Amino acid sequence: MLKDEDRIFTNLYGQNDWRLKGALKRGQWSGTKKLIEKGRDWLVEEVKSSGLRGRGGAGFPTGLKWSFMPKVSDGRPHYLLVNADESEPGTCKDREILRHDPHLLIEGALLASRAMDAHLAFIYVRGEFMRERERLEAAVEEAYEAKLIGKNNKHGWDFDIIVHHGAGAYICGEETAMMESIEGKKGQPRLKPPFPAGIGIYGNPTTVNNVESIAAVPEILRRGGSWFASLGRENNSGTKLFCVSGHVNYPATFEEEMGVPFKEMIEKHCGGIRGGWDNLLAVIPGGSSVPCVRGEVIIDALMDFDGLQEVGSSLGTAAVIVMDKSTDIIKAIWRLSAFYKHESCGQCTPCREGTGWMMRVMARMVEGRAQKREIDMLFEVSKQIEGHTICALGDAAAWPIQGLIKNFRSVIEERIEQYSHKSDNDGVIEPPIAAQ
Amino acid sequence: MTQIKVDGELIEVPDYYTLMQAAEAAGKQIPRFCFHERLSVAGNCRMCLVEVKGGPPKPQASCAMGVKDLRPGPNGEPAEIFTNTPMVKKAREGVLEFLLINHPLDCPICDQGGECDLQDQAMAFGLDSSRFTENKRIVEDKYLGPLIKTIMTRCIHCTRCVRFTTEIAGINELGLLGRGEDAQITPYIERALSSELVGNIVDLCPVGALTSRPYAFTARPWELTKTETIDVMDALGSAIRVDSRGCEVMRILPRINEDINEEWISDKTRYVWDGLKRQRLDRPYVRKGKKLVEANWDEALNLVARKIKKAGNRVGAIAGDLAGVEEMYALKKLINSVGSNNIDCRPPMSALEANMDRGVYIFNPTIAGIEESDCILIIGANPRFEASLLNVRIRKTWRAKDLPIGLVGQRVDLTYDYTHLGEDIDSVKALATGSHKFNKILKKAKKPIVIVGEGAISLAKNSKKTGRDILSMSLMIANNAGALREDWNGFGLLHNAAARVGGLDIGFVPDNGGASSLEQLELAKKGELDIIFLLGADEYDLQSLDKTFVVYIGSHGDVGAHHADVILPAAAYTEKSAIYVNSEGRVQMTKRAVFPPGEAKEDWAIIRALSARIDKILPFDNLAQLREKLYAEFPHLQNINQIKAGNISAMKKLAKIPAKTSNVLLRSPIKEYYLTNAIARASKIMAECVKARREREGANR
Amino acid sequence: MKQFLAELFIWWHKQTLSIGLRTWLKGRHVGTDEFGNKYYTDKKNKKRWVVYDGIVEASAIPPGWHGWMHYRTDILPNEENYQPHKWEKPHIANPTGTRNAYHPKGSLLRDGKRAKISADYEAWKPE
Repeated sequence: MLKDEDRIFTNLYGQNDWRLKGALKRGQWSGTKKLIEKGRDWLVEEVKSSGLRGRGGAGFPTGLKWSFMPKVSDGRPHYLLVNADESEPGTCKDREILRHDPHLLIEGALLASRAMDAHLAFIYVRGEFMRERERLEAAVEEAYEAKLIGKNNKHGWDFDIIVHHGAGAYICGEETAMMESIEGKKGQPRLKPPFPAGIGIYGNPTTVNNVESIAAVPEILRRGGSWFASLGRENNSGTKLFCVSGHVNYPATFEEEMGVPFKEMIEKHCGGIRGGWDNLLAVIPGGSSVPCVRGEVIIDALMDFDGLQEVGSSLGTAAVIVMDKSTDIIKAIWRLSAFYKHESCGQCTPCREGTGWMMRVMARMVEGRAQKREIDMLFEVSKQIEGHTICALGDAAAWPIQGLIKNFRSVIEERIEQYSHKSDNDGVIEPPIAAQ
Repeated sequence: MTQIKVDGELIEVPDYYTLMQAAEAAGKQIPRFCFHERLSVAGNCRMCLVEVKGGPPKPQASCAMGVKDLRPGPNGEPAEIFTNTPMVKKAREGVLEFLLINHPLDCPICDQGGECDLQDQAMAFGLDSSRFTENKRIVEDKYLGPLIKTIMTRCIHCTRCVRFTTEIAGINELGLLGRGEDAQITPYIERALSSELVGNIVDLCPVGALTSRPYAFTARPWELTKTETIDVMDALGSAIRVDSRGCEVMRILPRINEDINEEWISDKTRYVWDGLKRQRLDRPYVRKGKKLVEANWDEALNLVARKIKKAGNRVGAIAGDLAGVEEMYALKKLINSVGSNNIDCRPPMSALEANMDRGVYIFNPTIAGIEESDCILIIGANPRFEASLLNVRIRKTWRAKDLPIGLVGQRVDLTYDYTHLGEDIDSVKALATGSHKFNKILKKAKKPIVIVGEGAISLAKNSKKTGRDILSMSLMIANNAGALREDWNGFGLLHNAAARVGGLDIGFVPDNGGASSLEQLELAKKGELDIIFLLGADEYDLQSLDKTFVVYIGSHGDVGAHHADVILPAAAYTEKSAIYVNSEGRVQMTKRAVFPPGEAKEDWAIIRALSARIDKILPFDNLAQLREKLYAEFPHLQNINQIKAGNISAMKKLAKIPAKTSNVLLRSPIKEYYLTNAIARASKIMAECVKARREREGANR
Repeated sequence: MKQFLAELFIWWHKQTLSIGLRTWLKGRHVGTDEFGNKYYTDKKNKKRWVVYDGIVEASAIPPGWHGWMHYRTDILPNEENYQPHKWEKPHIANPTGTRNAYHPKGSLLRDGKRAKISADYEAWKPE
């Protein structure tokens, strides 16, 4: 259980001043100059030793990612790109940082930029985050005025921040699509390789990090990597923002140590499951794009990367969506399917054609207006999408459906039987609920 | 070089190869839709997936991944890819199933049927049935002008057309709008595309979404006879394939010729074929009184023979833009045989003269050579419309590297950035004397090219040949810039007509006191020329020919035919085998695809028959004998597809700066790109193109 | 004389000699249709036959007489007061092989001119 003094995000709920004054009071921007003076290698090593893994979903070790940046510049500038395009359904952690602790992010961006020899950071804010962007811009303004960042700043590392406001497309949260969007093009993912660390924004080496990863960096460096590594389990160290939504008594976003058992976390922060633990049907533990897990399986699971892998899912963005037995699980997954169909960029074939197909089959399955053999077909179609696309959106669209079929096949079959009984009895076929 | 294993076979390929190229080097075929050798890599069709050993547990797009992106094995053994594993097979089947779920099953009424990539690959790599039971997607058709027919429901979003128009054609008018399954290829503003190369997107489209509008529903690819020949619409001689059925030309497609057109052709080349069926001269005509009446060959030839006999040496001949070398040679011999030298194949007031070195009148750097150059100066030409494929080559080079381009002449859109250096002869003079800003850039260049338009060297003011000054000054510029070297000849004259270089090569120009075309017309006005032969010459002002007996030998009823006293119907370029020499000086030969209509004969045969009736029999009875004589006299013409280089020192001798120049504006002679010759003027499709362009320009205004 | 020779040697003109003989011996003329074909029966009304007016062409027998000839009815059409419907067209014999035969559009037999095809070129004409 996380102790209060180990919290990184001390103004998560906006109870204190978010401006520079309040941030300074909370200890931010203290000793930043000293950290920067320790140099690039120290910074990268310290973050590596902390075991910080990317908080954006994939969980790639942040320090390792930074070390991929060219050691010596070939004349091209290096860039840091902070991914604040938080659009994953169920996820609401970055916006809390943006609006309540923006200076944590700015300080983190400065330190991260030093660690990769970048003098310019882009922060790509999601299109729908209007107020968050205003707060962030105001904070950047304050930082410039206080000479914390900018040319010839107090810290001795020239550093500029460009806040880029997106237009509200989920796919722009993909790192290369985000670069396209910043360059003013259509937000469609690029082919990899070349990877952004080699050729990124405007063809220059770029590292893309999630807001939470960057915002955690200053505290890690101030307290030392070993402090962060001491929290949680090996390979899954540190603290994490969890966003619990759905059928719990008190949905909340909170900071918690990695590897906390699911049941303990829900009891402590969310007041338990609505209608008691027997009422728990399923949990999507990491935002919409990870497979769902049956309630009885997840109760004892540890909430970190490896713990959730063991139950056949993944931590993702740690956006925990809890569903009790009143949920129509097929309809819930259909809704996610519709989301991915809507957000597919249309660039590559499997995702463009496949997401719509899956959504339509799902729509029929919600009513039960399908054949049982179509369940296997749906599973195969999702496998045909997974791993065959340019970016990970294809995978993300496939996994929820795969999770549903693996865990709740009996529910689908039952629904199909019900429907055929109904049409046997009265012969009336109702129009589909959501055949768009 | 690096080593890679493809399906267990170890091969060595260059570092820059992609996996697809490596697989092809190993003899493995990789299916693809979006990939095209001459366009940027999109990687979005996912058809070319291959398995990489030791890589991520998912297949990789082979068109986008380089050989050097692969990591070697743990003990340094070469990387390994597979193109025939179950994973690859499954991936291909999956992609094809996805492509086909929203593709209409209308192959029986689709013009692409029989030459459709999707059809072929679905047969080769796809599943036998579909599991898709939902409704298919319908997409609204788009208007892309009179040349392109769209059935957008068939589109598989490969974006080849988008990449072609933006990268090669240089227009930003086509794109992929919308997202997800609602993404559509669409023009940003729905109107005719403004490029002269749009026909190529029909070839590029792997399915039947973009098809040829004039060709729609007329033929199937397997019933067509394919004849590989060359084009005469401009002076480049692009490689084409004429598809014919019976006695009619159904369509014209490009062939690959890396030296000239790569694999593109211009719209005029591609869509002029309906002009071959209209306004045809299919029988001889003889003027009786005021009217032209039908006649038979005997009657017509006898009449001409009588007139020649009476005229003595007061005879003249002008060859038009589409004449082949053989007929010009025969006509030259005929005119010479009656003791006249009044022959001309040049545009009026041309600065080119008999006995000039070949280097002066050909495009020495060659079209492919443009890619080596590092600076281009264009004088008085609009290459976009005078030689579209040459312009494509310049744009390609400009995209690939930092290429400074200067233009003297009208400020036009050439699809690439250039420095405008002025519009008049003074700018040319400044460049020649070295006082122009652009001279510094020219000086720095290692392989500069000076392109001079045919229009510029044919300029005249007060019947003084100003073009001659421009020619000598251009040679001066080239010489000063170091473009006249033995290892790099950067002086290029850009002609507008397919016949021109061939005519100059065989000396179809007045010599020994012969009269040029303008002088002939002048003589005719005065009544001092009794008979004039027009060998398809329609581009001249023929108003003054009332007093002269006009013999028109040609294929189309255009300006020349209206002024004729005798019309002798001849064959068009798809109907005869003839030698054409392109602007580079490259000798090429057409092949006969169909026969001439009606009673029309091949041009050389008409002249040969005529020679018999005036008792000056030309010494050949068939084309082979004619060519034998021709080759004996001009040996370089027998080297098909080769270029006889120009003489540098002879070119240098002509370089000079005249003391006084009369001031004229440099203008391209092309007034209307789609209507530059008799065949194009007979074409309805070309007329529609003109209309569409006017509409677009009207909307812009 | 010509009539006799025709009856003797060819079968497609009116009647053959044997039919003429039978008609003369046994025939009882029962009626004539609008085309001039004459219908006969023998005394016992057992056999029925026709003598065509001109060329022997079975389809020249109009529908009413066709029924009688084929023993579908014993009522003679000229004795029956049949009023044709207004959509009924006057009967014509099958014109196949005659000048009146139908030729589809574009047939050379129709008017000696073939229909335009796509391979046709447009010849230039001096105005």
